[in-house]
Amino acid sequence: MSPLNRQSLVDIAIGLISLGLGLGVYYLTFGFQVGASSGLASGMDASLYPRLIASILIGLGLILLAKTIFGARALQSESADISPSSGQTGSGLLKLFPLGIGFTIAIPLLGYFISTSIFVVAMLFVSGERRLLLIVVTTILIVTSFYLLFRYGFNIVLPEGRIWRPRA
Amino acid sequence: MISVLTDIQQFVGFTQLQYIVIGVILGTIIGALPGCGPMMGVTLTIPFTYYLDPVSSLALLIGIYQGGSFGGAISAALVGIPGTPIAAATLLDAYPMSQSGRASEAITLATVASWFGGCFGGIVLLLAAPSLASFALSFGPAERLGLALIGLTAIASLSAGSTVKGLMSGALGLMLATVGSDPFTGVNRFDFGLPELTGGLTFVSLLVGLFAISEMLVQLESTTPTARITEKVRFSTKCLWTLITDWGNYLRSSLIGVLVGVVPGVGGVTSAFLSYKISKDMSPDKEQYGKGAPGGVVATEAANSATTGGALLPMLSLGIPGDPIVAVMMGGLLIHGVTPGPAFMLTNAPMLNGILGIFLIGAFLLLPIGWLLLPVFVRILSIPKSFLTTLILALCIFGTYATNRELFDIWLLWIFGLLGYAMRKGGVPLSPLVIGFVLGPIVEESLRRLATISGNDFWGFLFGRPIALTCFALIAAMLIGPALSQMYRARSRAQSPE
Repeated sequence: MSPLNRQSLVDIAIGLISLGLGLGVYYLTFGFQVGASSGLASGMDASLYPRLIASILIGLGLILLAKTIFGARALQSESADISPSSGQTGSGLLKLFPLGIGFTIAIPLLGYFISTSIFVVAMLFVSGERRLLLIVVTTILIVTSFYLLFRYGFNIVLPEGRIWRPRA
Repeated sequence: MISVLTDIQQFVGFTQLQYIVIGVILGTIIGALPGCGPMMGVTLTIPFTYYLDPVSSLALLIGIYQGGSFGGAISAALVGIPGTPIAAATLLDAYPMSQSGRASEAITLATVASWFGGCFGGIVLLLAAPSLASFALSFGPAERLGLALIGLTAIASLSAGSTVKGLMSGALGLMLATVGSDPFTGVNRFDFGLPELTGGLTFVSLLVGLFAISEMLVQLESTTPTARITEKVRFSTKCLWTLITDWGNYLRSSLIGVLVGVVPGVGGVTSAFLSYKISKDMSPDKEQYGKGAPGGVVATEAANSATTGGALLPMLSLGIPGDPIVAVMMGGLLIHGVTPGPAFMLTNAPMLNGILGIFLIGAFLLLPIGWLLLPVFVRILSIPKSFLTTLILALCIFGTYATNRELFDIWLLWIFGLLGYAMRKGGVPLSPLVIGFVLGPIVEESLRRLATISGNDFWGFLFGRPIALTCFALIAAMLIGPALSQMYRARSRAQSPE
């Protein structure tokens, strides 16, 4: 598949997402409408503004779809926040996301010290680090310094973990 | 002037000075790391500013913004990778200088030029912000709506990718800002029955997820190795003489930086390249540009540092952020209940002067900090990438947790991380979303107030006000302009013989 076709498919997907999102939001606004819509003449109720934005999203989705399908290529410029990556697309997602989700589930169960230690070791490993000493030192450094910073710097008690908490 | 100095003295004590110094040092370090930059620095710091007073938190954020804008030049000069996109123009001459054994000269010039540009931007900010805010005092909801939409449209149409995608991103930001309780009627919107969403989406989760987590995901895919710096780099005092010998370049580039910075959505990258081009055209040694011309480093660094002052001007005086980093800072102020803009100027003029003083002090401190700590900043480049990625991720997670001490915020962090990653891969700019999220409440409030006070003549009222009318004419020009230019180019291509 040529790069242009691939980009066109991505743009079509973005257009469809924008369209779907706009329609979804528009539909949801009926759920929180208070009284009859009074329109612009005598003020706006809570649903009118989100509907306005939903309509904009629908319109922009349609424009992008039309531009892509009818061959008008979007102007691309050098960007500060679209950073091209040299690696394989999706590999970062596969490396980090399971770890992140696992960590978020583990914190309330295992507590800060155990879950963070496991997370840091795993994170260093997936980042390509294989030097055992560096992994151990980094883990101790990050876990301890964060604990001290949050506990004594910001007076925040980090999660203790349900399975370690003494039963009443 | 004396009252300004008194205000600065009142608001900038030893604590705030400490935060400025910490900010500049941290900002320079983060700015020097390829793939990070001032946006990442400000994003990672926002959660910790919850625990500071508004002036101290802004001192920290401004310091990071200033340090980060300069830090990118270090990696640009030494390893040929700009730490930040705004240092891309600096690379053109700083890297060749470094390759020919003049690394110390290149980085010192960048330090001196950043210092000069920052101070120049600070002085302009100090002089212009109160006047602009006084002018804006008469603004009503129509003008506020027009200005907010100008800021959003400019960033959406001038930032990355296509205008349509930029506008989509901005509209999504406006949409996300409506989550939670409606400020006018108290009706819950898009909360899906979750009590955690009643107060709206947490700004920190959105910001850190969108920028930092998605950047880390991209970094994990990158195969760029950690840099190895072998050359000894020291501050070269003889470069200070260029302030006298090349004063025109310093002054002109700083002026370009401030002027470009004031325009919403343009930013440091444009100012640096524009200034570089003008400096090259005006230099007698044109052919040296791109091969290691000191004037090229001066032009780009003075301009991008002066841009920071220009970008803060519309935020502090009009309440409209000029670039995404400033939008984040504005978000940081809103967290503390401080809403920048003309009303803030009227009620909190001493505090505004304090903030302006902080900017100037931060800019001034860049030179001594750069002078003393340059060898340390250079060594930072050798830190293993795996360590940095892990450290930044831990900061993201616990910084977000610290905001409300809720695990729900960490779940939001992953969701926005995923969204940011998808947007990057799809070529949708992230900045308009953040600006839309920050400006969302202002846009909605202005629109609804306008609808209430205009009675039956909404459009007549809206377009009957010259400033509002000018704003909407500019918005129309920004939206139609790129389409017309695209059509013209397509027509020219079709008409050309080949």
